[in-house]
Amino acid sequence: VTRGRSHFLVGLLSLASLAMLLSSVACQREEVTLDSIGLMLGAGQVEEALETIREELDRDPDRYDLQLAYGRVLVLRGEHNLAIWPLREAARDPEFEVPALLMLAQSQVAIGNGEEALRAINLVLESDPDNREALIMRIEAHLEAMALEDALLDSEHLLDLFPDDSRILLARARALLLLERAEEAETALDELHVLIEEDPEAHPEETQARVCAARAHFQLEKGNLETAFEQASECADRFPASHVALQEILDAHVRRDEVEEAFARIRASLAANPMDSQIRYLLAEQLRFRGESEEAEQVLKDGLALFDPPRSQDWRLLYEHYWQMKDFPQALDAFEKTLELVPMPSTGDLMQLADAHTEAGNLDRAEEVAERLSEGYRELILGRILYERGEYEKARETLLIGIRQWPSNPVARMLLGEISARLGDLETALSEYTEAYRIDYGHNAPDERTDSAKEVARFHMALGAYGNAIGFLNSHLGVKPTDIEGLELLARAAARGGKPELGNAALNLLTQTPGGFARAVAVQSKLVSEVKGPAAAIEAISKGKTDLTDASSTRVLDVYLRELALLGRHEAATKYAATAVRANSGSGVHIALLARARMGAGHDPAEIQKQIDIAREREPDHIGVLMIAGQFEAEQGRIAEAIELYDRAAAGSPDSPAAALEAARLVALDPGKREEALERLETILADHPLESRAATALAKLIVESQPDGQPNPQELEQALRYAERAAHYGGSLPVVDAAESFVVLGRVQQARGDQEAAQAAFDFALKIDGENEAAREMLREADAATPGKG
Amino acid sequence: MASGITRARIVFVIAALLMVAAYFVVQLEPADPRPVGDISDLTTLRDREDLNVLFILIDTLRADRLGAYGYERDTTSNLDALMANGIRFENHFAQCSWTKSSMASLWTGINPARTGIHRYMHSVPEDALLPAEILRDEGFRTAGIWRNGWVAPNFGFSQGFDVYLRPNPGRIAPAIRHAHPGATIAGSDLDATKSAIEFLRTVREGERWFLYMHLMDIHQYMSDAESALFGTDYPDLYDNAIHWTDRNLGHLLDTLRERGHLDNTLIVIASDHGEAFREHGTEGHARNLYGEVIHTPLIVSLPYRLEAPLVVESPTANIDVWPTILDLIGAPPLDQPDGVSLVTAIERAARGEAVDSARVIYSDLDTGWGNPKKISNRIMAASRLPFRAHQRNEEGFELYDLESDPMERNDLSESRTDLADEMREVIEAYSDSGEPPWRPDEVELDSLMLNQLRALGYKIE
Repeated sequence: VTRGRSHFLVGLLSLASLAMLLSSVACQREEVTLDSIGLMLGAGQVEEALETIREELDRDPDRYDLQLAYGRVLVLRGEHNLAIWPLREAARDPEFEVPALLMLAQSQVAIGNGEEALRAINLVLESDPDNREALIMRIEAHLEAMALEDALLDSEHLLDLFPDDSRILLARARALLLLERAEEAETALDELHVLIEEDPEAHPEETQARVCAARAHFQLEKGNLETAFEQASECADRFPASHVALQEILDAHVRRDEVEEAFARIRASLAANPMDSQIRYLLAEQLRFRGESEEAEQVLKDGLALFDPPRSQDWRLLYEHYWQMKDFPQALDAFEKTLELVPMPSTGDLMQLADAHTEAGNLDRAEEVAERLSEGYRELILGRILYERGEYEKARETLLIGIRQWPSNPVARMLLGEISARLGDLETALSEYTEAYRIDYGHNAPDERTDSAKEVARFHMALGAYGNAIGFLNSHLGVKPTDIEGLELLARAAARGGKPELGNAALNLLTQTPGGFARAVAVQSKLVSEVKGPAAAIEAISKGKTDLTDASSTRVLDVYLRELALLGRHEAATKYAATAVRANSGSGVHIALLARARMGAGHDPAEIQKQIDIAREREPDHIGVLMIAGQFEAEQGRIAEAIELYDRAAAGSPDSPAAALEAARLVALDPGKREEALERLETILADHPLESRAATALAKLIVESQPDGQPNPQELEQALRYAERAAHYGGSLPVVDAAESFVVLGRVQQARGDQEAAQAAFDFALKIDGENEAAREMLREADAATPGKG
Repeated sequence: MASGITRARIVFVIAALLMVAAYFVVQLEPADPRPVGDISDLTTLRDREDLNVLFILIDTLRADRLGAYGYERDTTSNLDALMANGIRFENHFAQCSWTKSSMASLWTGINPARTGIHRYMHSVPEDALLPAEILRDEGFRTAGIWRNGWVAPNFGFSQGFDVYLRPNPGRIAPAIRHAHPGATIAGSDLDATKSAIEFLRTVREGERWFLYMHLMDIHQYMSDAESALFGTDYPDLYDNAIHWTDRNLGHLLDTLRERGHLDNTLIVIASDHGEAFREHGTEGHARNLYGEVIHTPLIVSLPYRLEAPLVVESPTANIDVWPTILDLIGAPPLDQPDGVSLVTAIERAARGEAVDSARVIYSDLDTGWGNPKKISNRIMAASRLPFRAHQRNEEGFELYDLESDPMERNDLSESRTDLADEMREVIEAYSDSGEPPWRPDEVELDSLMLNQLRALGYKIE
């Protein structure tokens, strides 16, 4: 036992000795010297150097030399807000106090803490009142803290001591400019100019050019065009490589209306600085503006040829040129070449390239580029690519990942809004459009804003919140005052929201847009018809004294004829249409309008057929002609032909669901084509998510095609969703259609067995449209079916 | 002999294993090195010579978005962990929903009716006594790291700080996203956190310190990819930013632990106001005084661990924060504060005594604070639990029962006329609550400063 114990102790002591030995070896650290740190930094081992310094300072915080070195490295890395702490420590040692405080002040100025900088500088000046660097820095700190009078006072005091220091003169001029003491600032610049002239070599050329240009600019601002021109010319001649000097002389030329001279100056400048890609692009841009795009392209290609291999920036300029010219294949080729020459393309570059490929329809290539992006950025691009491919669910999921990481991207939010709406998730759509609006109008410059305000307005209109819609439309039109659709929407929202004056103002603005007069009259007539009936609309058009036979008024004529038809005045409509046909040398659309009027009047179908044939021959792709032809075929019972015509019209008018709705309605007439009709209506709803009539038609078709006695509960639930959607988002519909959506909702509820909800829906339909017979009938039926009633 | 060698080997191996185990025991620090204590130890803190103060002001943080305050989302795991062994004040309210006025009250312990700091040009004068001055005089090294322009030095908030630093990095790290469209102030709270860590690195052995951090990323709806967990709408972005802020605080707490400061630092976390998400028709803050903008968190983490979190239910206010801290560390008090030390409330809560329902907490906002003309549009709110009354100028008065109607939707001013009259008188008495020990200064703001403040989303005419 004793031996065992002694073995144990021996073992333990041996291990302890070994541990102590190892520990002492570990503790024998190599001394950290400034030289060793310098070597590490020289070898690019910045992180390692910083870690070594930190460890050493944790061990010995009194290493003030290291505190200063630490601060200096942090300053060099731009981490001023971290640097200030070790610099303050270093300043505790008298040996390092002044350099540490000066660097501290520099850091505080860099991060915008002028007052803290002043504290540090004043500490230096306490011990060394004439320290020139500290005094100059104090002016900078005063300027940073916007203590302009103090900056001026200091600079004047310093100029007494060091009259030849151009930095002080420059700082003084800045202070005077900020104080809006322009004349004195100008004098200060003149003094600076004299100083520079005395010994130009002592000052960097760019400083000389800037002072020269600033003096010319003063003259320009004062209206001394001749002096400004002379000075600017002199600057441009003396400093041909200076962009500031070139810009100044170009400004002077433009003020003198010397466009050709300005152009010649750019040419001359490029000849003097052929390597300068900025000047080269400026010339190419001017050539493009002058319509000389081939020469512009050649100028940029000349820039490429100057270097072997060519520089990436020169390819980029060519890309910009092609993109502006809308030559997308060439643009993309140039952009690819740009990035081939960049060792590490930036995220922005890759995004731009992927985006450009997406825009040009090169989705596979766009995807390849997107895969090189980091997470978040990648998803934003991939989301768009998936959208373009029609993979909406995937696109939504992908975009959501991107937006979570980059929530301030209004374009991505607009796209997500569009996709959500297409998928029927209207709440998310509105939320995304609203977020896009918030970003656009809270942060982005007007020219960077998306149409978020218009989209949000559209939703609010559909929800019946016309006041809100007006507000959003006002925002939108504030940025895009001539947006025709925006003005039309505003007129409608104002009419619905009981603000006729605003509506008229919007229509007045609409009349001032190209082709806007007829559009405004047509919109106004429709609105009048909705509120006061067709007679009032006809009266409004007549009062407007629009020449309905004029070709530019076809849209108004169309409305006029429809309103006459609604009043049963078919012969009058025929007469007006015939007059218009004569006045327009038998244009296809006018002939078609005449044919439609005659259909209403019950004229001989054979004659109408002839007219429609002529109209189609003359304007085979006109949407109006195709629609009227479709109507005629349908009336003649040739449903397949009618559907084909409506399909053609729908393909030619993707922004309007009218033709597609007609086609779907005709398909639905055939019980054997129920599935096709449903599919068509669902497509319309996806393409036009706020088109409540499509949702109503879907609900109606489902409920009407249920077998008696054994309805399909799942289908009825789907019908309910459509009917509720139609009723909820029916704020933009004419009264008749809005009431119809509630009637259908009531019928769906009836089919589901919820009589109370059905009755409420019919009641509401009647409230909207007191003349809705279907609602009245359904209510009567419902009452009769209720015990104790009927 | 052979068995002797074998036995010796076994002993040797066991000894080696013991050494290795000992090494790991030494190397692995416990997650929370603080000793366990209870509330009776509170009063011993004032005798400690090594106690430091870390005061973290998280701008725009509403209480109900923290896990420890019952939020269902995991937004604040680090703060929740801190509260698990600390003190949480359940019914805590800010004195204003606009930063400058709120912070002036928080630092001075004086209600806005007496500070008189209601408008954008008002500043805290040199005559006012601020906690940093008291602590500096007590030998603390004082540092402030701030990112909200309303607490800038020209508004008088730098008094007493050896260093009052705005950690502006000049550019934002690419991994951090501005979620708020108006978020144009430079940098992020990561800069503030890194700067605080550097500050802690310079603290010497035996040196006492007070660090104030004013974090801003929640105000700016800022987060990074890792924190963007909760969706994309506005309230989601707010939660993402809270999560991001909590993670930054986690880094700071780790540093405190690594540098051995957890058991000698009093950590206090508060906010200047909350944030509205259209609960009463508006978004943001500085527009009204409903719960969503004045119910803020107050968390105290002691230099020792409580075995279970202590929740103080009695109503408390931001004006109590500094009277409490100064009381806890045994420093001289503020000058004529309206706020009180919460040590008694804490002790009562620890003993399970009834909530002090008589106390009225006031909040006060001049919604015309951004208008250079002297057009006052003042709202005053009195929270006397479970009721809260709002008086807008002379005419508008609302009364809510927060117990049955915590969202303040059902105005009782018509149905509970007796109570309404009583609360009107309470508010009237508040508005005449006397002179402060000083008068506010007025500063002239240059256009740059005004633009910076506008960039925070504030409307200044």
